[in-house]
Amino acid sequence: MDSRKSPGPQLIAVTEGDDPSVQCASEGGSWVGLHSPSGGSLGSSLRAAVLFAVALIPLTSQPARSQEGSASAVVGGGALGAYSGAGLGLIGGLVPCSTTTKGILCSRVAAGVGGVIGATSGAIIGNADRDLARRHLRNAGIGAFIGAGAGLVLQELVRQYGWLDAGAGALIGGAIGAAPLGAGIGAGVGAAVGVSLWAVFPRVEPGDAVAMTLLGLAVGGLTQWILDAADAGQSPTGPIPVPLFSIGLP
Amino acid sequence: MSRGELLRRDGGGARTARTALALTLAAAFLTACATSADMRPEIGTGWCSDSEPLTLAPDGRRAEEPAEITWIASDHEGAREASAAWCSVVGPPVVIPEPHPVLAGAPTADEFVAGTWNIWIGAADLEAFLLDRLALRCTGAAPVLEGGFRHFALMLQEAHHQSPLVPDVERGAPVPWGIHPEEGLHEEADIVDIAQRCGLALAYVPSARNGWEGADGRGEDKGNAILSSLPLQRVTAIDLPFEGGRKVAVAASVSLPGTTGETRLDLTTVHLDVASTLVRTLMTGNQTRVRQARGMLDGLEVGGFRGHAAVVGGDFNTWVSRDASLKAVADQYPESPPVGPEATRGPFPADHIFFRSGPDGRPTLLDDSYVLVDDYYGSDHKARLLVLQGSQPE
Repeated sequence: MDSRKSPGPQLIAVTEGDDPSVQCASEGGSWVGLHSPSGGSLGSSLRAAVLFAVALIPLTSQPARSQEGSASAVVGGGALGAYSGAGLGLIGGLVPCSTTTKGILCSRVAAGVGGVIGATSGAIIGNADRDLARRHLRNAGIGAFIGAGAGLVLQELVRQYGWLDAGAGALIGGAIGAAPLGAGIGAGVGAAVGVSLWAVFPRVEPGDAVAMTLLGLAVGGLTQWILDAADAGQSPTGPIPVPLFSIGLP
Repeated sequence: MSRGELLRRDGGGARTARTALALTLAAAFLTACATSADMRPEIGTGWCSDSEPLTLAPDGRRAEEPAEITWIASDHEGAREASAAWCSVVGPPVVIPEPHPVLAGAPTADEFVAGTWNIWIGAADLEAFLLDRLALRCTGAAPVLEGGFRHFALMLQEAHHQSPLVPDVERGAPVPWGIHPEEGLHEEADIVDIAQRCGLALAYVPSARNGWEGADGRGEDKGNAILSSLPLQRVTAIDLPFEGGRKVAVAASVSLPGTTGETRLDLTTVHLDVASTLVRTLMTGNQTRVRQARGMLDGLEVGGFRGHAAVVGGDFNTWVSRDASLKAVADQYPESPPVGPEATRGPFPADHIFFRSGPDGRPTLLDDSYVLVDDYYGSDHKARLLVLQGSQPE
């Protein structure tokens, strides 16, 4: 703890205590305006975004044979799955991670687990069924569009939100949108269970119902990725063999 | 398609694919680290160190000797600038160190009541609360002590003050939207006016301006306050780590009277942010509140508030009673009543009180005295109260 005193009105500066959960953050945050305290290193985020966007390009190109995967489709599907899974992990971990003093580590683990599940599933889908991977991408685009709209509205309504947060709205929308059915069902089931438990058990708090809703959304979305990967993995990826018959006439 | 076919078809594309995927994952993790850089320990806040408090005597006149106020903040330059900008649009802190002589001379009981309440920018009927719950009738002159009166301190959040000393602001200044409850006693409930009408000691430190204009066109600010029937000493403002907006915890001490001397009791009122930006909320597991709570605890230590009996009351803006911020504070206040899930703001358990005894084990928390006041009194939060006893040795 570092302290200094100055004459006049007494002033003491405090250095916040060490937190092992933030050890990888070795550089100072950049302050993006008063109303948007730093979302972190913008340069790193942009580099990651560019890398991610480049990885998705193969999914947007017209394939020669849409049912069949390729290395580039594997990359695209994996990147999309990693992005979606990591985003779902962050959302699912939001409330649970706020109950631990290692919240940053908790969020990273949630994002990491989700990202690995999504990346694996997405790569399998990209390899086996490029059309399915493209459907995930299209849905992610729709989700990002809706998320961007919501982000813009929130940016106007919430004092501390800036443009970076509107962008984050788009990213979250895209992550959810990539697996919309599973996320929707999961959120619904989570909300129903959470509210029911809240109504029945006094120890369950309304915040727990919120947590279950978000957790349901995340688990549902990831489940959709896994199921789609399982389905795609079972479908034929190579040329479909056509039996040849010769009919001998007497 | 076999791996060999893939390699032939894409010219080693599978290896490229694995590499790119690994890079993408690595970038995702690195991004997660980078975006939490703001949470590193030395990130801090700003201060209002050149803001001399407006010091008033119990009769409302300006005191000849201004009260001393200690400012505590962390030392990060960017955060300091942000907080200083918020500070530039509010008025000075207001301190009334001494209560009315009627209170100063009140008979001493061996019990002390401490409470916390978010009074929603004057919507709460504080005077009715003082009469109903604390047996103090405010008259505008000498306060009247009703039967059962015990000395007390209230740790208040969202107190407000209108003053010509709140400066004019220019477009672009960091002014959050004003909170102006449509119903309530807003204009009559200015915290400085209430303290004077009720003869109470006051330590009020504004955190932010309350909109561009007050209800009657005068500038208005808002923040945390301590109202006490005992004199307030060691008034300290702790500029919390900057998250969604500027938040300043206020600490002070009272001396609980006893037959063999006085027992020091430290009081702190705090209001934590509900959340930071969306990016930070997602990337940190919403560590906004625990970071601010740690800032408060560190500030109290630096300010010399360790090692004494102490009460912390606040609106912690918690969604669940297991929130990490509550755990962090409870760790340092081991004699606290259980942190309960009772709803104080809508369905959420936002408001809590923490307590620890002094080195001699005094005072102690009176059994079953920690209560949730069942009436909102016009606020959007319910108050919590507890009773301490045993400041006098047996």
